[in-house]
Amino acid sequence: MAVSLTEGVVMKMLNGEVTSETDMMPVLQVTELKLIQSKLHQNQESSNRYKFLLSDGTDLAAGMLNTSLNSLVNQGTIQLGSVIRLTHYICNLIQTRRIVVIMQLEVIVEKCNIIGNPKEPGHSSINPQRGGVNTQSNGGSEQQQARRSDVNGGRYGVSANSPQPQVVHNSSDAGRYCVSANSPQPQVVHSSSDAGRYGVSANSPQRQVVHNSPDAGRYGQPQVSQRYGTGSGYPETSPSTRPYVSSNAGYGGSRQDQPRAPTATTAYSRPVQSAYQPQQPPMYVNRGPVARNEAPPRINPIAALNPYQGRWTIKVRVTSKADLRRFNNPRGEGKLFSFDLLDADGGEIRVTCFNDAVDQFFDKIVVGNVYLISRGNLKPAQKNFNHLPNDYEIHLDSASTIQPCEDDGTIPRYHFHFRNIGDIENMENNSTTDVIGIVSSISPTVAIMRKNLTEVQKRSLQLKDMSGRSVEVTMWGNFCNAEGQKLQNLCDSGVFPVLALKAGRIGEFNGKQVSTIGASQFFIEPDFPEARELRQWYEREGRNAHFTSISREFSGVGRQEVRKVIAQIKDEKLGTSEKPDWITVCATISFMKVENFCYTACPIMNGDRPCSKKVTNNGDGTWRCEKCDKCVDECDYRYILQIQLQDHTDLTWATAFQEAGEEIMGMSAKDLYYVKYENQDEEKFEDIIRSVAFTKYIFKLKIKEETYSDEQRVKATVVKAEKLNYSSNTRFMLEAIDKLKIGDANSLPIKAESSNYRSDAFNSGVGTSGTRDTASVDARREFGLPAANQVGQYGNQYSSDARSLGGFTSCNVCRSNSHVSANCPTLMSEPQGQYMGGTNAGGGMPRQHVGSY
Amino acid sequence: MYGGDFDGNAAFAGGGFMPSQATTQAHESSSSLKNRDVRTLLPLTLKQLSSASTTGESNFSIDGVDIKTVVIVGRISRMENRITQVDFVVDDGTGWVDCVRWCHARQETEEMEAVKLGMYVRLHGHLKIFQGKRSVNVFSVRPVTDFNEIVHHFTECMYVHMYNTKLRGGSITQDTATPRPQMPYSTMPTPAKPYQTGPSNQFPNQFNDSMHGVKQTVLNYLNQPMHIVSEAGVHCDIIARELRIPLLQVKEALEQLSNDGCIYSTLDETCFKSTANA
Repeated sequence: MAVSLTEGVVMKMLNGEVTSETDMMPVLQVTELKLIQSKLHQNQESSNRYKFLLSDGTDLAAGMLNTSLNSLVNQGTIQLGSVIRLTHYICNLIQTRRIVVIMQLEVIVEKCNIIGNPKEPGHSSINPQRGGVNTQSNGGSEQQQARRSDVNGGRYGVSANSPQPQVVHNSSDAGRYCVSANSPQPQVVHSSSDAGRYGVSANSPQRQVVHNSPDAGRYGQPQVSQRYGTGSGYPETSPSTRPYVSSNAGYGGSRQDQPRAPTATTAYSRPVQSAYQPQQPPMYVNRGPVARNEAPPRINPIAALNPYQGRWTIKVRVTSKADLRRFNNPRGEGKLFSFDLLDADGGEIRVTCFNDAVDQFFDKIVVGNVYLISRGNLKPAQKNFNHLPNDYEIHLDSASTIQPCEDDGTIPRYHFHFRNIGDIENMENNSTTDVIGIVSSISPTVAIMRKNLTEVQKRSLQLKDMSGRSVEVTMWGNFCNAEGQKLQNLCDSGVFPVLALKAGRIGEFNGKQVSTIGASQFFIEPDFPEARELRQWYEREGRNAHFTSISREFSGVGRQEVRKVIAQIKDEKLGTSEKPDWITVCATISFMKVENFCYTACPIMNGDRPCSKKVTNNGDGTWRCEKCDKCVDECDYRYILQIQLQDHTDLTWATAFQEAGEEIMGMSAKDLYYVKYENQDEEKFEDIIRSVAFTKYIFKLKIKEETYSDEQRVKATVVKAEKLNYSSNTRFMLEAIDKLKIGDANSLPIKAESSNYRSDAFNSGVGTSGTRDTASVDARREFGLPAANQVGQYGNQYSSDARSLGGFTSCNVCRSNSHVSANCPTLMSEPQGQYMGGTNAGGGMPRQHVGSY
Repeated sequence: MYGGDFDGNAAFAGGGFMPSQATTQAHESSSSLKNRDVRTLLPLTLKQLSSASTTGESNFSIDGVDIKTVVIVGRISRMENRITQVDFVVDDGTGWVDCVRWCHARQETEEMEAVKLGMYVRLHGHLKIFQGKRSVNVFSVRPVTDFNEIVHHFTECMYVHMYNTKLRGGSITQDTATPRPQMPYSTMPTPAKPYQTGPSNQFPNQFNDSMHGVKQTVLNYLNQPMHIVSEAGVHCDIIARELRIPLLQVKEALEQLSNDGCIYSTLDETCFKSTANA
C-alpha cells in the first residue's frame, strides 16, 4: 500500500475525541459515494448533497460534503476509492449519529483500491443485505443489540458474502470487548484484511452497477425515499408521492440482488478457515450463551407504533377491507386498497397497499381473520380518507410480511365510539362518527343521477335513541339493497330494529344528517351491550316517547300547515288580508251539489299542463277554445265540486277542483260524466254521490276574499284532500288534549299557534310560531339555538408534515490557508441548516459549537 | 227525506261563498247564534248523549254547545225492520240509544240491508225526543271497516269535550250551569309538549268569557319586548290585524285594560302601551 491512512481516527471521531481540524487532519479513503436530492428542490442543482463513507482502514464513518465541493465530485476528482485529507471539517451528532461535515479537503490520490477491510460501527449500510444469513441473535441489551446489528450490516455491505469472513470478524469484535489482547489477535486481523481485499476486488465490477443507480433519475428517488420511509431520521416526504415511492421501492429491492458474490469467491475463502482452525473453539465457547438466547418476535400494541421504531410486529384482526381501486396521476396508472386493523388493546390503524403490494396482499386479507404484520412503513394519516382514531397509517411494501395465525379471542371483532344523536347536532360537518339507534321508519330506494352521469342509489331512514332526538340516515350504493331491504322487512312487520352504524359521515342539508361512506358498516340487531340497553329502553319507554328531529324534513309546499277548525275561518277573519290564508282542517263532507259537478275543458297541452280552459260546443260535434283559438273533436272534463264541510265547530262551503275532486270522488270527472249522461245510469250516479257524503277528510284549504256583485265574500278552495288516517289523527288529538290541559294549568286561553303538522308524529319538529304570546317567543328562541350550533367548520384541511432539508448556503471558498478566517460565515450557516433538518437537535449543541470557536 | 234535512242550508249554496261580513256586531251575534245550532257536527258517546241537558222539546246542549247533528260509533245490539223504517239500538259500551232510519228511496233501503246485527257502524243523525224518549233520526249509516276508527271516535269525543269546556266557556243561552259529565276514559300519560299545535278560537257572542280571553291576549301582545321598548306604543288596528281579533273586540278589551291600569294610551286614544316596566 503506497498510501497510509490515519489509523484509528474514525473511532476517535465517533467517540467525540476528534471533532474538528484543530484536533487532527486525518487522511481517509472514500469507500462509498452517493447523491442525495431534496424532494422539494429536485431541479435546483445547488441543493444536491453528496454523502459518503470514510475509511481509516479499520472503521467507517458517515460523511457529508459541503455543496461548494460538489464540483469536485462532478469532475471526478473525488470518486470511489479516493484518498483525501480533511483540512476543514466538523463532527456533529445528528439524531444519535456522528456525521462528518467537510467544508474543505485535499485530494491525495484520485483513485485507489479499497485499503484494509473497514466496517461501520455506528451506521447502517446504504444497501443492507436482505435475507442474509445471520447467526447472531438480536436479543440482549439494547446497546449490545444495536452494535451487533450494525456490525453485521457493515460486514455484509462491504465484505464478500461468505460465511467465513463472519467468523473472522467475530474475533475482531471479541478483541474490542476484551481488556487484554491475546497474542494471536494480530494474526487474525491481518488475515481478515487480506481476505477482505480479495473479496472486494472480486465484486468491484458489480458494485459499480449498484452505485451508478443514484445517477439514473429513475431509481435515484426510490432509494433515497426508501431511506426516509424507514424512519432514518430525515423529515417525512410529501404524502402525494407515496404511491410512487411504494411502486419503485420494489424495483430498488430487486436491483439490490445484483451485487451477490459469485461462487468462486466462496470457494476461495474456504482455505482461510482451515488455516486457523485451532483458534476458533475458545471464541465460540465464549459467545455460546448469547447466541442461543433467541426470543420469539415481540408483539407491539398499535397504540405504541411510531415512525422512529425500527422493527415492530402487531397481532391484529381485520375489521374492514375496502375494494380495489385504480387511479391515474401524472406518474401513470396505479392501484391501491386499504384495510382496517384492530388489536387486543383496542388500538385501530389503517393499512394501505399500492401497486405491487396490492398484488402481494390483496387476496391474503380476509375480514375477521387475525394476522401478524410487521415491517411496514408508518406515515401520518390522511384524515380526509382515514377516519380511524390514529395519527398514523401503515403503508406496506414488498418487504413487509403478513402471517396468518389462529383466531385470538382477546381481539374483539368491532370497536365503536358511539355518540348520541343529540350530540351529532353540535359535531362538525364532514366528520365521522359511530351511531346506534332504533330505526323508526325507512323510505324506498331512489335512483339519483350524479353530475358525472353515473346512477347511484339512495335510501333514507330515521334513527332515534335515548337522547330524545332522531336523525335521518342516508344509505348510498349497495347499502340500499342488502341492509335496506332487511330493515324494510323488519319495519313492515312492526319490529323496529336496533341499527349500529360504524363510520358514518355527518352532513348538513336541511339540518344535520348522517350518510354512509365507503368504509361504513351496518349492524342490524347487533349483540353487544349498547344494543341490548337500547332495546330495553325502547320497550320500556322509548316506544311512546316524543322525538325531535335534527334533520329538518323537506316540505314540498313552502308554507307552514296550520291546523284549525272551521269556526276560526270567520272568527279570525281569514282571507281578508291581501294574501290568501292556507289552513288545514279535519272535516266531514255533509253535502254535495250534484248539478254541474264538472265542466268541459280544453285538452290541448300547453307545455306540460293542459290548457284546461272552458270550451264551448259548436253544435257540430266539435268544441272551441277561446284561449287556444282552436277547435277540437273531443273535450276533456274537469271537476268543480261544491261541497259543504262540517266539523264540531262550524260549517262552510268549499270548491274542489280537478285534483282534489278526484281524491274525493275516487274516479275521474270524465268517468263520472259518462255514468250520468252517456250511460244514463242515474242509480249508479246516486250511489257514487251517496258513498261520498259523510266521509271525513283532512282538507287543505285556501281562504281568499273575492269581490262578487260589489260585495266582499270569503271563498274557500280545497287544495288537497287526504283520506283520514285514524292512527295519526288520534295521536294528533292526544297532543291537542295535552295542550288544552296545559292551557288550563296556566290559566291562559291558548291562541292558535303555527305548527308543522305531519302525519308521522314521531318525527314532528319543534313548532314555529308568530308573535302572539310569551310561550311563542320562548318557542322561537329555543328553536333558534340549534340553528346557531349548526354553524361549523367545513372540512379538515390536511397539512403535510413534510419539511425540506435545510440547505447549506453555497459560497466560493478558496482553499488557500490565508483565507481561513473568510470561511467563518459559511461555517456558521451549515450547522444551522443541519439543526433545522433534525427533529431531535439538542439545545446544548449550538452553544458548545459556538464556544469551540 | 234526504234532501229535506238540508233545506236550511240552501241559503249558502252560492258557489262556496260565506255570508257577508258587513253586518253589525249585534246582528252578527244573533245570526251566528242561530246558525251555530245547526252548523256543528258533534262526535258523542252514548253516555254523553243520554246526559245532555234539554231546554225544550227538541233542543239539546252539552258542554254549553247546542246539539243538532251527532256522530255515533257503536255496535248494533237490536234491529227490527218495518215497512217504512228500520228501528235499531246502538251500544258503544258507555250507553245505548234508539235509532230510526226512514227508508223511502232505494239507496236508503240498500244501505240498511248492508248493516247486520252485531256490526259496528258509524252513523250521522239528528237527536230528537220521540214518544217521550231520546232517539236519533239517522240519515247515514256506514259499517266500520277499520277498527282504529273506534279508538279514534272516543279520542275525538274527549278532545271535543275539552275543546268546548275550556275554550268556548259555555253559551249565553244557558241560564243555569249544569253538571258536566265525567270523562268516560282517562287519557294516556304522555309527556308535556308546550309547543305542539292546539286549535283555539274566540267566539264574539260570548262576551264575558271571550272578552277575558281577548284581554289576556291583547295584554300578552303588548307585553312583548319589542312593544315595551317602543315609545309610541301599538295602534289598535295593528293589534286587531296581528291577533286576528275583530276590531270592536280589541277596542273594548283595550278600554277595559286601560281602566284596570294594565295599559295606557300614548300618542292619542288609539295607541296603547303596557304599563309593565313603565
